[in-house]
Amino acid sequence: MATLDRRTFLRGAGVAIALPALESLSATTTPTPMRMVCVGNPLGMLPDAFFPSDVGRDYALPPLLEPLKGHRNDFTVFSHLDHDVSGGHRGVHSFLSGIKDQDAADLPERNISIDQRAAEFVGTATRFPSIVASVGHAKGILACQMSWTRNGVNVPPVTRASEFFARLFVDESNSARRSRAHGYAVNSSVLDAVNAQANDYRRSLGKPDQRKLDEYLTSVREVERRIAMASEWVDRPKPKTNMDPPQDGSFTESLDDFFELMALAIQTDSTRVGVLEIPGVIDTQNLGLSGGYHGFSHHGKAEDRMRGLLVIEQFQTKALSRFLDRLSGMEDVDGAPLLDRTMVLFGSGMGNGSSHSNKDLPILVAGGGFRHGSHKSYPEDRRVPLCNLYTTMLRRFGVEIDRFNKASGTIGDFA
Amino acid sequence: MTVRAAWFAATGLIAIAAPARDIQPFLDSYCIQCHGPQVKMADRSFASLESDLTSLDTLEQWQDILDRLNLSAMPPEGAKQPSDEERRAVIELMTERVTAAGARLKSTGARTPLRRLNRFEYNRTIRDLLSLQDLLADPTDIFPPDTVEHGFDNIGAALRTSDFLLDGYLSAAEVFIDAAVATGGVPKPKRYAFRALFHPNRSRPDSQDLPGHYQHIRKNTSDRGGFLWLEDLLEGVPRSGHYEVRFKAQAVNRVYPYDEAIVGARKDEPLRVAVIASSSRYGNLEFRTPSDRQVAEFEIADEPAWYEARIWLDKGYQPRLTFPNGPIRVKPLKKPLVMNYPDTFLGFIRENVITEGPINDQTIAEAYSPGAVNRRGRGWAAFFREYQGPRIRVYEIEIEGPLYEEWPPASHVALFGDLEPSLENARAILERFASRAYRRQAQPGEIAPLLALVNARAESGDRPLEAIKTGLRAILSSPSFLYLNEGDGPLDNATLASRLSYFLWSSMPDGQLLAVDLQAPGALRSAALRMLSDPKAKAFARQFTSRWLELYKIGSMPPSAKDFKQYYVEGLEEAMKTEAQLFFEHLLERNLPIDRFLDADFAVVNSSLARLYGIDGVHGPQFRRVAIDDPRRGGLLGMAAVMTASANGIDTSPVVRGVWLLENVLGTPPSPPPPDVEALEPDIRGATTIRDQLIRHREVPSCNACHQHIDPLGFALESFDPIGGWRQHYPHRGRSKPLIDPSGVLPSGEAFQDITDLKRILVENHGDQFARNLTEKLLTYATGRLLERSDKASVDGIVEMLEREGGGLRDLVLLVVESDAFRRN
Repeated sequence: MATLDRRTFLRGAGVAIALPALESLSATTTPTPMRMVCVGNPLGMLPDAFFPSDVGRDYALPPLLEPLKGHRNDFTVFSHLDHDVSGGHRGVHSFLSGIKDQDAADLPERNISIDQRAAEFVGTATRFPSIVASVGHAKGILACQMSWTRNGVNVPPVTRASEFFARLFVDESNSARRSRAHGYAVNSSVLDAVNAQANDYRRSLGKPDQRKLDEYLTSVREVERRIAMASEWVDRPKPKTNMDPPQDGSFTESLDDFFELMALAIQTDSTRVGVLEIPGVIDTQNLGLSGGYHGFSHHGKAEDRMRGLLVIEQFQTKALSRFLDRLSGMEDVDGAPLLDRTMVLFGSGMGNGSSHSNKDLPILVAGGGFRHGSHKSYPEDRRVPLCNLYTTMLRRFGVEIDRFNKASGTIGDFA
Repeated sequence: MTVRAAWFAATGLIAIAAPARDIQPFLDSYCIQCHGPQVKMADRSFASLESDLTSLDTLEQWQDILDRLNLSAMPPEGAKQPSDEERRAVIELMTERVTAAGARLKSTGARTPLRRLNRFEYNRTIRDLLSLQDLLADPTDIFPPDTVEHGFDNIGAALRTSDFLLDGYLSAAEVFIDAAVATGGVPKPKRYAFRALFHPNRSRPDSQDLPGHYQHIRKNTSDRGGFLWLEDLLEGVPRSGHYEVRFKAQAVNRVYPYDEAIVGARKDEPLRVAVIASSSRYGNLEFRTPSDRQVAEFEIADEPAWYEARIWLDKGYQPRLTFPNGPIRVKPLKKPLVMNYPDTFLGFIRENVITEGPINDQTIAEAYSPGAVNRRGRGWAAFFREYQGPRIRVYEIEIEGPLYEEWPPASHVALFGDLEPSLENARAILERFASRAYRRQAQPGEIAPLLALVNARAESGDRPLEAIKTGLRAILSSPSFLYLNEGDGPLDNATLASRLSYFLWSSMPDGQLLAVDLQAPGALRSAALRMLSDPKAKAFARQFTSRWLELYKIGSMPPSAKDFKQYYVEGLEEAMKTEAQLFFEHLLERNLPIDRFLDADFAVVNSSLARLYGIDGVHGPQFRRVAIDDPRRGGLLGMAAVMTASANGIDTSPVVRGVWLLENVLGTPPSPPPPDVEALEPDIRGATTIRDQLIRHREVPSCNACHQHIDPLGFALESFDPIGGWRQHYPHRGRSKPLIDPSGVLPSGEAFQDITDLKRILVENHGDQFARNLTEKLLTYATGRLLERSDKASVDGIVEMLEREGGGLRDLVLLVVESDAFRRN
């Protein structure tokens, strides 16, 4: 039998009343909010080039982590974490949720992904609850499909840098703003009416029932507050930037632009949750290679193909390193490096692309104020669910959660 | 702690004394030196620890101490150690008190506080209210999950309302109302006709398709499902309504030339086609999506024929065809078919596997030997050219609609009656609808803010219909709709009607129920009887069995498709849940004694369950009652649903199943284990069985306290595999295949050899305990609250009466309805 943690037991014993409301979305009350950026590709990382051969601190940096040398105390690399799913390409989209879409219908929260769970928590505290972007367009199995809502819908990514830029820095048209404002106004007048009714109703109730209704009234105030904030965004001009509007280009030309836009999105507090998808179709010729990314990933241990794949994957970790540079150079409102307040997850729903394995996913977490600097390896025979790490991240983000999707607990010695 | 004590403690029947009184000597001897007024190791001093257990903080601290004692983690090594007996005694004392204090802290004074509709009830209520039962979309899929207490998700004190949920209510109400309103004249039906290819076979060309003539329902290579969908109707139908769907199809190769064990599909049963309505908004139509709803199912003849059904389609949905009793997926078929029937796959082999040289048994075996480099994974088109497995061939599909029997539709009338949605009628519309939604007459004071809302929206420029719709949304977001307010003392008529209706229908009362004076003698009973015979009462059988038996857990950890092929090919997941529901309904309808749950000489099954149970002579997907003479089956403990819900899909655990039986059959839940106890897992090297490990575990006295109750029951259930099939051995572990030993001895000394024996003991000696447990579960579900000490009289009374009346399930339900606990709050 699975172990029960304290909260589960207390809830079982019915004393959950005194615990904080689990579903409350009060991100705005946090003085220094946490941010989350999840970066992934659909084809995995060469295991031998990604996972260090020794564990703990002071491990030798393998080739794919070499570009992150300057940040080695800003990140942790994890071995033997995964979601225990299969399906090869058809399992990749479970990267941030642990659950395949075809199994989602059986679950109360479907296959909600970690970013959307965090976005729910942020609500309207920022202009965008989350931003999901893909560095170029990909279809079918070569798209990452990383972000999923609570009702099992895949969040379509922004695929062009110019569009991403416009979302962050270019104000909406008047008619779009008017229709958005109208929706908010209607909802808020509905809330006025039910609030009046509920207050009246409350007077007819005894004490215990009043306490129950107070949950409702609190929720009304909270939704009102969120609508008010959302309405403010409608007329509040978007932030200004020194960045020139980016040109839409190929993957290799645009990857840095997308990372830069993501950094700016975080810095301007336009959002606190970002997802960046690296598609499985990229312009490998710009990296001096001939053949597609997908083809290289099926290297079948052929030396030249593995070398090619290493080039493609290093291109990604190099860009990641520049992104970490950028975040550590930016300051949060209180002067702390933004990287300390931004947890960056990098990885894939594919483990070893050549064998199409969804096991032993490449996982790296940087920033977010965690205790970094080591390579954490978990037992191969007694699997630790990757969702344990996601639970730890969500809790750091501020979400009161016991277990995210398939988690059996949290990750120890990290938070 | 004895099992009996656990039950009393959990229901708060033990007098609660201050824990310190008898525990203090133990603390003084073993703890206070390090956790006392001077030294406060780990920041803990038990000197200042309050002993009255009235606050959550204190309770948590005591629980923490208890956990450490249980784990023998304290006192630490090197410190003075208590004897086993001392430790056991103090653990027992503290467990009782902590559990009792937990029960007392959560007490609601044996009344149901304002109870929010849970998602299931909300969904059913709003559909009944708006006559939108057919709507495919589920706007409540954005709601956070409801809190579950002791398996039940309708416990008023536990159900919370959050801003996130309220946001969900606002948007769900909008979707439902938009779906209900009909404007303009009767929409003209449209006719769509489709011919093969219905969708492109992009990644896996099926070489037996004949464009212009027919296409086969393709099974996916590695996923469950496999659909024939309509590329030209990707955006779905443009308008919600009833549609006539017709398709011409044929079963091909029903009797196929391969071994059934490889393919999985039955040769002696007709192939079937299910019509699944889905929306591409929820995902790729090639695969299963969360929007899937089965709307029709047919047996397909071996000759081409037309099939038709009148189905509801939401705007944006399209009907897809699937082949539920075909092979689950084709990828695992390829290698065994080619290897076993090479003569029939010569083209494929020559093209893909052995491109040169001789083709014979030896070369084929070599080509498929582990590590051989070949192209056997490719060439789906070539493979399908020669594949002779069962297939569904579809020639044409026609869709016509939307078709309406009445205009405006019932959903529109539900909102407006026969009133024009104009501002002049606003008050009347709101009053009428609110009185239905609130399940009682709406008060003028409640209508005023709604009317003000409508007028304000109209003044700010919204059209009258839009303004009124906003007012209706407010009704569906109001606490009077969302909560059941059951007041204090005896329930008044409207409140009693609602409680009864949510018990038996999981939905709002109908007009007939609200019109009855339920306080009149016998009125409640006859109302309940009428409601039980209504099809809406299926919700009771389904939902109650789901919560009581924890069947809602089925599906969240599905068994592997490799080891349990029939689970998927034969649709066992849905079938087993249906069996539990129908068994319950059967007992209810015929008022059969409730000890049939413990053992029965019949089962309610369809052909796939009959095969799982080894019952002969059952054909087809319809469920029916069949007599059985196999004593291993019959009743809950032989049911596939129960065995699947209490397993994790991969293996079984006697602990999980033992706890399941204690909680749900005997009503004596054990305390939860202390934290950080590692789950026992079967030794994969096969050296020890789980039984051996548990026997070692029980040598620890604090573990034994509960495990002596749990394990023996669990051992008897080990004879069932993770989906409820019978087994005598565990699956292969390494080289060995250990024999299962299902025997055991209960703490009371009753010994049994196997499940049959255990069932006999349960029927003979524990029937009363089961009756009490089922009564408590029904009363909990019916009232939406956990039972307390003061409910003991009600429970006793019901159990006593039930025995006198013959122990029938319907009698029991009626006794619950007429009990004091049900009729007052």
